[in-house]
Amino acid sequence: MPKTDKVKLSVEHLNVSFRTPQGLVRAVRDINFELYEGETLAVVGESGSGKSVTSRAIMGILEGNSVIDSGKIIYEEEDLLKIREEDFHKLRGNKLGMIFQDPLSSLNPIMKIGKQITEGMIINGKHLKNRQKALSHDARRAYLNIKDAITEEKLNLKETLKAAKEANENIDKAALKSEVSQKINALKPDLAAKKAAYTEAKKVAKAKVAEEWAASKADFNSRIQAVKEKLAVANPDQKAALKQEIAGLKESLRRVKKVTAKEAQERAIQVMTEVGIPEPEKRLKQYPFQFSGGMRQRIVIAIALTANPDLLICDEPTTALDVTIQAQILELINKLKQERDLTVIFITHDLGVVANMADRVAVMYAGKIVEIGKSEEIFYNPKHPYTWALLSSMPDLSSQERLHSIPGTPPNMLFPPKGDAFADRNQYALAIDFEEHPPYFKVSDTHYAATWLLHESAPKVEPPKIIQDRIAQMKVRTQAQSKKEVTR
Amino acid sequence: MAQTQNTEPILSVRHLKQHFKTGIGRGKLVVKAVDDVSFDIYKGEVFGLVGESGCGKTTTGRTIIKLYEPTDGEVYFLGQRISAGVVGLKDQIKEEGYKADFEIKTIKENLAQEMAGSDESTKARLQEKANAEIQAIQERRDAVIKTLKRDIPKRKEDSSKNERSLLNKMQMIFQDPIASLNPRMTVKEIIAEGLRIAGETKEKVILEKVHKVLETVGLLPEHASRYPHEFSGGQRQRIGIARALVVNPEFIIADEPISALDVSIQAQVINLLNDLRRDFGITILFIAHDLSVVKYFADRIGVMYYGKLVELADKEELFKNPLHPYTKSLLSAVPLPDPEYERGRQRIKYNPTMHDYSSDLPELHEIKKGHFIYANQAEIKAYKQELK
Repeated sequence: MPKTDKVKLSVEHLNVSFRTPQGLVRAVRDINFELYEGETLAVVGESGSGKSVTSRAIMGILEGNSVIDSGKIIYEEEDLLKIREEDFHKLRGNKLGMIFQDPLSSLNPIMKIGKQITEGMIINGKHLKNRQKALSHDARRAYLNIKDAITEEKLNLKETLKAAKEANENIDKAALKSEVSQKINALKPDLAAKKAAYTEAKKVAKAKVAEEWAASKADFNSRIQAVKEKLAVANPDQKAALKQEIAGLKESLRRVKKVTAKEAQERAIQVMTEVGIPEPEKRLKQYPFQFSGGMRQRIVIAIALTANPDLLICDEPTTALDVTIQAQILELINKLKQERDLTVIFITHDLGVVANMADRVAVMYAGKIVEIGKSEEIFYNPKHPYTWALLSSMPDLSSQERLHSIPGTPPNMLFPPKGDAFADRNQYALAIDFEEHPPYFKVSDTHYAATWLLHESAPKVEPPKIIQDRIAQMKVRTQAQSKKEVTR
Repeated sequence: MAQTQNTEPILSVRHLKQHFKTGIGRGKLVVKAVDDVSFDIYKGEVFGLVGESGCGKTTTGRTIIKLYEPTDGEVYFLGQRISAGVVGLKDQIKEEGYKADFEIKTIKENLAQEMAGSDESTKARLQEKANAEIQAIQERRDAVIKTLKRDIPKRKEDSSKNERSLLNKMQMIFQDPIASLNPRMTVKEIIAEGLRIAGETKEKVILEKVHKVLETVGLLPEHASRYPHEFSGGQRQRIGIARALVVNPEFIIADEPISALDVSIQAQVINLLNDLRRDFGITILFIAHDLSVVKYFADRIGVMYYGKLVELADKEELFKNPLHPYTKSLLSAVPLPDPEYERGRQRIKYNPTMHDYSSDLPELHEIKKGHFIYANQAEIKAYKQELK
């Protein structure tokens, strides 16, 4: 359960499309959700419903042909869609971790496991450079903000002119241009000032870092010198220990400068132990093919954990695994979530896994969230026909009757339907479903569903019998379970 | 094995072993993918085989349909032996030879000891006695080897006969509908290939049969001229099923036919398989790792663990009274779409070292009618207690 109501990440009106030779494929259409600190949000839906695209948009790793049409992804008061790639480096991996579906294809087959785990730590571990950047960060941000403002003015002008041309409107181009250039000119002195300030800040930062480095170097060197003096007069049997001390001091000095290979390896072993890989020292030197499926997935989790992320996105981490291994991986993710206070977005199409992991569930269909609510609300009181269809297409251990399969196929997102995308496959569809997309109707404070069936003038529709039966069974089962616990 | 129903078994597997050998010399490694597995499948039923990946369930299926030559054991299909391993038999012959050699060696050593320090007449007597013993051993060995050897050509013949009319009655549906369909063949060619191999030459008959089978699996006749990539995952799996159905099989091995499919499509394929079973009375060996699907679809379930069949029972019985600790662990790992239940679910962990099989060797026992379990005598007692 979420400990606080603090919003960790919020996605607002996100729209993502992909450019293809056939046209724009609208993969994600106007998605809104909030992720609270410490909770697990499960995203469920068929393949192609936009679950992975949403998560990739959050991580900033969408494919090259993607277009983010509009929207915001707010994380720590910053819009992830606006920040620069260099700034994203600080977040991706460090704050936002991701576990991918297929552990075999997300690991490099010709690289030893040890190197794959330590790679990120070593690349991100240039302490002096990072410190320099951090010191001049504010000045840089101020400079870039103005630069962005100017670029935006220019782009706006271009777009206005283009729109006018397309609409065959007669506007005063010269006046518009001069107005914009005036605005830009007004900004320019500020830009120059900020640029100078940034250059100055960089210089100051460099000097300061150099100073700090020199100080720690001198400190260590004097300590090394002291030990060396001791070494000169020491007994032969003490020499080994002293030499080791010198080596240790040298290593510590290197560690001030950067993450050394040794440090990274120590950390890798620690993380591998944490995710339950036996004999990590030996395993570091092996290749991915020498690991079983479950172990490979543990490696992928270990890589995600090395940088201490606080938000973990799991994109179908157990789909390629079988039941027992799946249970182990789920337990591991839950354990890590507890120990490290992680916030988790869990993408899957297995409703059993959702019930196991999620605090809240978002059901996606054709690029939209059709229903969102607490896990109990979605499973015990589902409102959207698509959620009904998903729930009834899955056999559980007690189902006997014929399974309800969803007729038809998901809509072609090159031509997104006008009304509710699920209307064509929905036996409860109303006439309005084909005309207009339903807004979110509130079921409870935490439970929303986008279906016209919840409108006050809609006919009362009960969920299909199979769902009602199943909910009744769940109640019986839960009671039996709690009774068992009492007798224990 | 006793029958659970009053029908004849359509397929019997007896002591089936499939060992894969890699490496030579010191690096030699024998992987016992399937190790002494026996079961019967009765006409019209769905037999589910479950277990984690790498436990040998797919290998079992592939050995039954003769994609592999078994190391040892026999497979009977419709009353005829269709494959039988000879490697195990050869090993047994070698073993006999070694055993006899060892016994002869011991006798000779004993003789040498006894002869030392005894007079001529005793020596001759001892020598004669030893010779007689050795001869007896050799004769016994030769007799055993002869009977064993006599079986080899018969087994080989049975395995290599490949009688089409019989083997066509057994077909397979593969796991990955993308990898198992040739991308350069049209759907018609893919489906007709089996018919052609079975000896059908009339193009008109072939086309008719292809169209009919496409309709059976819920596709349209005009799909016959298309290529596999033009279909969605569920439709491709239907093509795979159509290919198996076209030769009118009596028995289908479905190797994880739904694992690679999306949720909503899984239901379609299961419903289709269910219809086929009802309409055509096809017997199915259903290999899967998703227990909720197996529970829904199968009649009897066999649980495999590292090449061994550890438990076999009717599905209701298995889910109500799981006895083997591995079965319990497997059942406790299934997540159900019920958050309240999930919160209280305790997973049972299976530790294979808990069994003490050092002196009391385990076997597959029938503990209750139709409920088989792999255990030794001590465990059987404990399980019987548990059943009461």
